[in-house]
Amino acid sequence: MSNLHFKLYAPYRNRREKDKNAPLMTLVLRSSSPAHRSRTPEDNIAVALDLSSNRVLHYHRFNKASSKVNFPLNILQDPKSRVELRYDLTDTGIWVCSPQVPQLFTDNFDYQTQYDLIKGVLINEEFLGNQIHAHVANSRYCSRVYNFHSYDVVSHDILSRWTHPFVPEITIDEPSFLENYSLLRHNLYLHNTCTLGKNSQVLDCSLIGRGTKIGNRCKITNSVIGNGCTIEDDCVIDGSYIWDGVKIGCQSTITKSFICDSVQVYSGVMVNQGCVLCDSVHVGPKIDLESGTVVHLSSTTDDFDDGEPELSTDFYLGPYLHVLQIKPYDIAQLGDQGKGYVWEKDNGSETGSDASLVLQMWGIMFIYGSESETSSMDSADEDEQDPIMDDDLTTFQREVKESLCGGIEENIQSDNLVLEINSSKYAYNMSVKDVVQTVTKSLLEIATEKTANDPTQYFTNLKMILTHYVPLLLNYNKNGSSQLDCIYSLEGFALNSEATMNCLVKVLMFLYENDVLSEEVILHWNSNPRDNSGTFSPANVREKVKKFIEWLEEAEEEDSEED
Amino acid sequence: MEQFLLDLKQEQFNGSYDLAYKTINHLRKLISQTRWTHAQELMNTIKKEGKRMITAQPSEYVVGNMVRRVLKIIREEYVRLLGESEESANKESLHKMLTAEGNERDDHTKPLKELKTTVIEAVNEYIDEMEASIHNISAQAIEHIHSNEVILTLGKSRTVEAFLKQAAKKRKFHVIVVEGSPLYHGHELAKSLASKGIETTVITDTAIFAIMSRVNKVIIGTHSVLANGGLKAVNGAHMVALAASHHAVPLIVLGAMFKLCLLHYSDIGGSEATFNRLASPQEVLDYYDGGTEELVNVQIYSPTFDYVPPELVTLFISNIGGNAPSYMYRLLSELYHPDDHVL
Repeated sequence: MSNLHFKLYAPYRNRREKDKNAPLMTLVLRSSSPAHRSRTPEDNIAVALDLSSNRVLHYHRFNKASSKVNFPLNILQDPKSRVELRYDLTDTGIWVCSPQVPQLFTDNFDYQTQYDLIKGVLINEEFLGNQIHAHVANSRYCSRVYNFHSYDVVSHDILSRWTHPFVPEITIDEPSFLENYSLLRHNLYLHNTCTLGKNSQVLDCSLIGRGTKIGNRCKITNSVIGNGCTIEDDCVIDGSYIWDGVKIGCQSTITKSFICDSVQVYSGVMVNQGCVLCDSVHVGPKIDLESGTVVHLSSTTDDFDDGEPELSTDFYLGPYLHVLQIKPYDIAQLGDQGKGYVWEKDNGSETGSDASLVLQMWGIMFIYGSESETSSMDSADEDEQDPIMDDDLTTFQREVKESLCGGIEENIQSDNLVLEINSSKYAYNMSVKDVVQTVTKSLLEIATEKTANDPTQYFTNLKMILTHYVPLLLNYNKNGSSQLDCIYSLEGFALNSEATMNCLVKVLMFLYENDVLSEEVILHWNSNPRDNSGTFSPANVREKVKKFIEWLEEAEEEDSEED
Repeated sequence: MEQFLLDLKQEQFNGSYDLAYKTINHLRKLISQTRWTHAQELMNTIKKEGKRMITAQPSEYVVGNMVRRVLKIIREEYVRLLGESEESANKESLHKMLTAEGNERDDHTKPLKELKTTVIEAVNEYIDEMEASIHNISAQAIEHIHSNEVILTLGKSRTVEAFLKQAAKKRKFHVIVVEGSPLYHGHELAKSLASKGIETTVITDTAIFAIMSRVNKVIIGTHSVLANGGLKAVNGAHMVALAASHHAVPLIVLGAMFKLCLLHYSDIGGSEATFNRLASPQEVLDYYDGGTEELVNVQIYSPTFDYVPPELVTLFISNIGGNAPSYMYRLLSELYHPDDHVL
């Protein structure tokens, strides 16, 4: 959907004239901030551009799991280029291609999507010499619709006249030129033949189609209502898209939903946000449809021939339909006069690790610390949110733990591990204290995980790990404060773990013998319990450790006596 | 024809003169190429085509003007060929109304052989008149601009540009150009005037009121002239007119006769489309900022035109001379026939 002028065609033509083969195509990109409405996680890209020639050097599309991108170093190595790494671009889906592009698709049959093509061309750039250029279009509007959320955004933009002159009152061709849309204040487009009842209000960015009748006392905001609809009294419609021929009964509320052709919604129905009612469905009187319900005339659990739902049977077979129905309509969910099936929310077996069907359609939106439409779907997409919402500490801890785990399995030398951990520390800007605490905690966690089945083996495993990592611990516990941090984090872990509690003495002994912890530090720790508590309290810890402390004090006296 | 309609819808025309010229050429082609036996049939064809063109872009009044002008030309030629004098046919005097019998009204159905050629000739004459209109207007420049005057103008009007350049040949004066956001057409005008050696200053829209006390005359062009003498001009013109009337500075409007419309100003129920053209908000606020989540409920308007009431205008200069705004409605009867007011 765009109102671009094709002047951008001219530089592309010039490029082609200068060099027949290399310029393959030009992508039209539009700049939009990361928190922009029109960006969804499905279409999140990071691009490296060469400003001097407008070439695309690297193109990465984020998938739902990862939030990191790797830019290869060779893009920065050309002395003549001015490289820009940009995250504020969206691919509008408009590509100006040369005749070689279809050939590339036939040659490489595993290019399933446009994204595959770009990646393929960029990787093979050296051999084939094909270049992809980019044109950043800022002065005009261009956008595409690929899921429900972008449909919503683009519709709203059209009604707000961003796509002028392609706006409803100019572009929609009516059979008789006397019937047209009138543009009223607040971006309202009312067709000349629609009727509004008494005390009905149409507010804010709405469009009412040909021949639609709206009853009394209705309130319609931010919605698009198609041709030939009948909406009865006292309805409230907000942010919804209602297609042609729909009948909506009185006192219904429809919020942020899609209602397709010829649907009949009886009276008293509340359609909550994110619902999709597909063609010709009926939803009975006095029903509350949960958020995110999808109602379709054919059930998903039916066996599909060729994967296509047999909608056409409804029209052709009419009276024989009841014979063919495999299941009766669900009256509890769809009301007395309901017709249609609710599609299951969790398609776990079919779609694997993907989130629910509704989320796939609506797209998950970034939540930058504010309430958003998907708040009702929070529980389902918590997993998806973690990578975005995690702060540095948790990521760092995870990385350290992974390194340490890997260190044991692959028997890596401690020096290398120290290097690894240090580099993580710099990457996440952690303090030394954080490092010490993390290392200690990770070691204990690894031991705990290893002994999940057999608690008695806990200390053996832990000792094995600690023995392996003595040089590492020595490295990080060089001064008194680090050692203190180490003990406190040990204690902190022990407060919540019975196994650790029991062998805490042995652990401390081990660390003392290996010179990881010194006496003064241990004694200092003992006399300064912090105000933490878990399953156990610091007092319990100190009880257990009492004997050890006594032995230590005696040993100290002995030492000092000897000196 | 379809291409013409498409261009109309997408606003591919460069100013009213351009649009008027293309419309009348199109109508001339229609007259010469369609089959018709008598005047009434021709007029019906033109009315039908005209309606389609007007609904394609209702905010462009020039299209309607051209259609009605052509209809008037056809009527005149028909009457002339029949041998009656023009004046007596047109004058609807009280006496005539009392004594006339109903079926004497001529319904233009007499087939006349030379009608086609005469109509096309008359249309050609009209086209020539239109082409010469800018020249005629600028020929009057010398009478209105005196030496050492300070003239204020707004936006970019070809008529005003030619007017000032013509006057600059004989007189020395100073021009202040208002830049006219959001499109900033004033910059182009200033460059063009400066290239002819006219002393030009560019000011922002906000400085108009402050500068107005030092201005001798305000000369602006207009998109259309309404039937009551009001203007449909580029946005910002109302602001200039108010400032001028406050400081008692005369406001002179330049416009050729094809810009004079039958319509009055109407704002019924906020019906914006027929008077004003709301363009893309991109001109005012970039989509980068304007499309963010926070601004979803904010409506951004970018109107193209302004209505200037006739009280604020001092003088109209057109190709047939200068007129007061209160007189403009009288000129309508010379241009358009009453039966064509509603197509």
